[in-house]
Amino acid sequence: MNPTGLIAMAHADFIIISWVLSFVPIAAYAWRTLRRARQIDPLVSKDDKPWT
Amino acid sequence: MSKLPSSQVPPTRTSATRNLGILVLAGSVLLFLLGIFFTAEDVDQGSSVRIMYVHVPTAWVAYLAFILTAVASAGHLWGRRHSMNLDRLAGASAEVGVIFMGVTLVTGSLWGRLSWGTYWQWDPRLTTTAFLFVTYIGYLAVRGLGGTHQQRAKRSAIVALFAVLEIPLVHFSVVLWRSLHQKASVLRPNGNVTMDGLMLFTLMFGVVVFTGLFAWLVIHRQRLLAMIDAVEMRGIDAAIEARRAEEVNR
Repeated sequence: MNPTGLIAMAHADFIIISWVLSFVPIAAYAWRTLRRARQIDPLVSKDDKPWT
Repeated sequence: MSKLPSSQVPPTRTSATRNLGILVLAGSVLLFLLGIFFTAEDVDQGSSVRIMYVHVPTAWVAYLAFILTAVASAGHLWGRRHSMNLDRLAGASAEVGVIFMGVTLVTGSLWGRLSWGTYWQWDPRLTTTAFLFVTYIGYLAVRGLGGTHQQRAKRSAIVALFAVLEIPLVHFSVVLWRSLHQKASVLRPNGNVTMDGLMLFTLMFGVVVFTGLFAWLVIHRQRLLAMIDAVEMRGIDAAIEARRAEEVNR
């Protein structure tokens, strides 16, 4: 195993942008889901959350 | 490790989803290190192969998401209890699938710029994938139409059962038509995989990580949809109660 130096990697910009554009929208979606759940939680009774 | 105050703990979280989340997070970091630093460059693709470690897993998991949407929809339509949990599972899975398919299209486009010299070509694989993406955006729009929860579940289940038929068309588009897109490297009919060991391991590890991420997202989203449905039902119940009280007072 020879770790490749990022600076020496060809097209490092395209590759890093690809990885960022893969994880950032998914993380934003996850954050939005958890935030919405917290917002409406006071309106939901315990009976409607059988997983808790 | 200090505990979060109960008001900050997401109400859709359980210890199982928390553990899954930690595993997915650790797996993502390891996948990044393997994909960027430890795997070799490809003989033909050069360093652009590193985009494949996110492009291919997100594509496969998007297929999985849409298949799960269809299976849950069939379960809702033909199940004895017409379970609303299955309807919400279908909706959550389609939402996550659309995000993963969007990621597939964007990363594929960036890879295409490096390999083909263009971000987009009206190639059979690219076109059918874009069509699949738009179809599931349509499915989500159908879910957002008015009506009762049961009406929403029934009409969106029917759409999901038709939409899933596009997946074989997308997968086999590179065989059915002359395509710029490369043919399958792993899921080949003869089972002959011609990839370096660590590259293949990283690709498969990516599939595992993104599948875990998909499961985590779908569980949380499905629970959120259940909470939203409960709030809406309570609103409807309150409106009926108010109407009845109005009738009595007349």
